[in-house]
Amino acid sequence: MISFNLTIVWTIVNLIVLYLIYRKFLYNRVQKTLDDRKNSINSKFKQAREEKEKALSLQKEYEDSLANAKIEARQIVEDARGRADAEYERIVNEAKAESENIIKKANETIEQEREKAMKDAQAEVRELALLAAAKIIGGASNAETNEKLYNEFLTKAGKSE
Amino acid sequence: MWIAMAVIIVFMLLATRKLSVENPGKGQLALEWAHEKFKGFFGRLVGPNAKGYVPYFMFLVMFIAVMNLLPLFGFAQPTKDLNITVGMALMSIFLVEFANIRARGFGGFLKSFKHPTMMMLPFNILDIFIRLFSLSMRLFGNMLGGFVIMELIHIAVPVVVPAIAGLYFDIFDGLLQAFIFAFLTSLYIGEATEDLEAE
Repeated sequence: MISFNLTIVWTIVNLIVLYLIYRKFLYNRVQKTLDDRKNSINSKFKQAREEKEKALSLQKEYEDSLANAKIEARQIVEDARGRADAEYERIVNEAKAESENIIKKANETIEQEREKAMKDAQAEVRELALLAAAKIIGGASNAETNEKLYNEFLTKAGKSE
Repeated sequence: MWIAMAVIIVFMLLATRKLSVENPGKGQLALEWAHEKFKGFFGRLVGPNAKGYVPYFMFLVMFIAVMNLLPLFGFAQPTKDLNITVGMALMSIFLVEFANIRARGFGGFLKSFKHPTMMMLPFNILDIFIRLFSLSMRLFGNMLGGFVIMELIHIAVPVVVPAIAGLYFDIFDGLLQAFIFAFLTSLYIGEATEDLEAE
């Protein structure tokens, strides 16, 4: 039952041939698939990491520019406010100066008017006095005439006020 | 043996027909899982100096397992023929000594026979033949024994019992022996390639 024959040699040959076939068709193919998958996963991870970094830097950039924009906006508002304040100041000052001018002019006018009125009144009084003197000199110097003259003076003086 | 070879070649061609990197199917995932498991297992077992031999162990497991499982499909195990197991054991031992020479050079190969002491020289030489003998006889004996027992059971009780006994003698023992054969080969190669000075 136990006898050695050529099968031993055939077994060895078959082992070698089959092993080479196995190496080529199963082992290498499966290994290649696994390696490819590993590589693709690694490269995808790498890509994802890079993209994340890029996104983060972009975000930072945007935040920076946003902050800059805020600062700039504040600057603009402040500038505008400063200009507005200056303008306001200027207008108010102008208005003040003008009003002072007007008031001054008005005062001057009033003064002039008053002086004029005074002069008029003085002239009137002088005239009246002259008139009264003439009347006293010209008319009878009695009590009735005196009273009449007095009243006339009063009336005329009151009118000129 | 020819049937087992045909089965393996057909399987290899079918299994690798459409390997996909992006979206593997269930079959491919199972194949990759087995590939990774066996590769990792034998890779750890054989040590860092003999990584190149790992595919051979994986191939041995598959080949012997297919041969041992043939009775499930109505064929006799080719491994119950001593010629085949001797051939395979010869191949393993040849590979072990080849790995030894390649790792240590021819002088180192000769020196490895008196490792660890000169006194071990005859035993180390004997070891080659003992390994050859034990590898081939273990596989042959297990398979022939299983085959004979299964035949006897078939004669005695043709129904139910052969199915249950077949679970052990055909499937379990077949896979176990396939595994042991490759396991021992990898152990021998790991031993033959390790750094003697580093110990």
